[in-house]
Amino acid sequence: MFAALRSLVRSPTNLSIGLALVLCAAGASGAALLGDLDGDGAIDAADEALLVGYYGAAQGDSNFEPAADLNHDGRVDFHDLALFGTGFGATGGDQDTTPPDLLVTLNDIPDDMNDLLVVPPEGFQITLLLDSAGGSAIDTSSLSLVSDQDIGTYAAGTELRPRFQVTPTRAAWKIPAGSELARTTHYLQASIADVAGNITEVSYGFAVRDFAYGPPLGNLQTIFLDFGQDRSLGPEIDFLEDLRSFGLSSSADPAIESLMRDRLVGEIVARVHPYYGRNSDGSPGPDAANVVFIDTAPGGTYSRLCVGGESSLGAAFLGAATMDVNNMNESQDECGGGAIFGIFPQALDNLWGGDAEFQASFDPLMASHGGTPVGEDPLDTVVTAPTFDPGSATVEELTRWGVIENAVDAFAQTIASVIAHESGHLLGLVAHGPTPAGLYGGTTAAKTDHNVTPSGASPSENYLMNAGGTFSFNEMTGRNGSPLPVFRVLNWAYLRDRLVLNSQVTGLYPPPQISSASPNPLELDPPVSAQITISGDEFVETPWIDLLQEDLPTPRPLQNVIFVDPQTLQATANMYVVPAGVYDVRVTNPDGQEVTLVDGLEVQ
Amino acid sequence: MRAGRATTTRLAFLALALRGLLGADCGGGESKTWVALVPDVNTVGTFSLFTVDVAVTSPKPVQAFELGLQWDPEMVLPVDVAPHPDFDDDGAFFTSPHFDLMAGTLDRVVDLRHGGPGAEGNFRIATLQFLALGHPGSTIIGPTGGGLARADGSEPSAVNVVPVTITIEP
Repeated sequence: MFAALRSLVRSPTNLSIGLALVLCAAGASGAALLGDLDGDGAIDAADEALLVGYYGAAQGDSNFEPAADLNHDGRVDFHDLALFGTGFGATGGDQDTTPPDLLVTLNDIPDDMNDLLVVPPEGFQITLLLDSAGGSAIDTSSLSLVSDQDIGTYAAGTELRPRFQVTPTRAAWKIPAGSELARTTHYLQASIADVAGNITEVSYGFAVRDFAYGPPLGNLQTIFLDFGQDRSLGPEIDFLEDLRSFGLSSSADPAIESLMRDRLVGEIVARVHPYYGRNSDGSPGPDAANVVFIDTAPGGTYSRLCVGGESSLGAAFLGAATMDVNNMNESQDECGGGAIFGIFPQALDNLWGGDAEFQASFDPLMASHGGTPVGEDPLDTVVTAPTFDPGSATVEELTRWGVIENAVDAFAQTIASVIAHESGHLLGLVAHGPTPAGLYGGTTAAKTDHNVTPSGASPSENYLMNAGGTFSFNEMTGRNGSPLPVFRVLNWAYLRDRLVLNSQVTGLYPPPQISSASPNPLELDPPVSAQITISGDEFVETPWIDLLQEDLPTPRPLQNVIFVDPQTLQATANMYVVPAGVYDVRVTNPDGQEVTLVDGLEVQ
Repeated sequence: MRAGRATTTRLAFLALALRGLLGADCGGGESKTWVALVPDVNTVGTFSLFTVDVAVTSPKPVQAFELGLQWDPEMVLPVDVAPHPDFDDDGAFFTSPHFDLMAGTLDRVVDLRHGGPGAEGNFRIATLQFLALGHPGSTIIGPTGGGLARADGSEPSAVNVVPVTITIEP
């Protein structure tokens, strides 16, 4: 049946029709022409051939080319085609001489934070962000990228373009497991051209190191959300008191109250997981952090975060948790200190009680605001039942059900956002200072442990680890056009173990080299100690020097190391530390890069 | 097969809605834009070929369009789609249309006018040829998705869409 179909489509031969039109049409001179995708100063069949390849693509699609989105609505469709058709045949436009923008980065970390990144030997991602910069379309086939170091089986200097998934706006390659990059400085040379032939070349450096204490989330981190404590309010457990405060339950109907408690706990846990790339049931999504949340005490190792009540620090404190950089402690207990640590829903009213959306959500249920709490309306038995079917409900039932569902959604989403935020602290966010030692976490006042920009300001984006006082109720709940908060790209790279926090790396230095140690042999006993000169290159002030021998359980350090210049080091060997024998000489620069000269020194 | 029946039902609702719109417009309102399927005949025999044109009435020039169609795949089978010279200026669609014969849909029927003014007034933009299958009865062929765009990339504020009913006789 398919063979019976015939349709007329553009073929190479009828491209000449468009070219003929070019010769007949005159266009304005001295400006770039809208739709001149190849940047040759004319809108012709060649541009149309390019446009065909982009047609139908939307922002985020692999073939989306911004230069083809003539009306800038994020989609290449018949609206753009109309604009293109209108200008077709125009000539005399500027030739495109604007090279495309090319940003090389790692793990999609944006330009203002990617100056000095340290990544593990495998698992991170090299990303190239491409932009036609208002000129002609990107020629994706022109992309080139080589490294000055081996990457797995790809030798230094190998063209890595085939490894990348390339679109007109982005190219990415995840360094595969087992690649084991050298723990040194790597430089990438990348280039891209647009279809007009303008070329941009970029060099980008980064460092590779091991995690000093293993990856922060190398083990599955379980976080037990403890909703069952009574730390601050009475007489019930705090979380139940919270539900009553916001009209989400009432002591008047214990059965509905129990049902609502279970419902809210389930909703909250289900809504925390997506912040960490997981499905609502906790199963991993395609790019999930290695952390799960549960509401019953598990066996084995876990951290605990209490949820409920009011902070002893004050009514406006919605949550607090100890920042644990590199997640060194996988058994944190964030329920201690009276009621200092944990999540405190009572603060919601203090923070957003004057917010219109907050009032619309909770006033109909809060007795203190003239509402009727869940469990006190005669309809509640029906509309809170798990078997309730809105499709066959009365108008009155539907109205009451809608009020309750709206409040459940608002409460669950807000508390889930707070839990996700405090759990971020518990996992190491936001480590202070710039990369590579930190993650641009602030160090002053409310910004302490929270996202700041490289200039020290709070980000304007709705990032989950921004300082607590910066969120609106809509930002916490994703309402009224505000997207839900997300982890900043830099934070997410850390949570995915794609970034190494390393205070040793202060610059992108090449690895040290050793050519000799002298005198060699070195005579000790007598004297008790003697000076050694190490010759080589790329020494950085001031390295460690160790002597290694298979028979010795630990390296033997040389003492009084003096950095003379990048080619020369001096140090002292002591006969009580270095017994006679043949040693490997190892120099370790302050940034952790090391070099070993095998059998480089004999001590007599 | 069940999908084909559902398609027919949806189109029947569409036809009813459009009849209402049509009635309102006939009362003497301002000029509106129409996309209508125009058959050369609307009663055909089983296993016979028939042609349907996509006709446009537009008070302002149309520079480009994208069109989709749907039909009951149990009743008719498309055998050809071609640009109409009323609109088309280079003998080819902009890109290759996409048929789904099982679902009874055609999409990505796209074309543009290259330079110069767009088409306005009454004109046709595409011609389709169908084969009536062996099931006597009535079926609807209707436009779906896409739209018309003017020289500045904008769409007409309202486009009335008119499907066609084909009666297949034994």
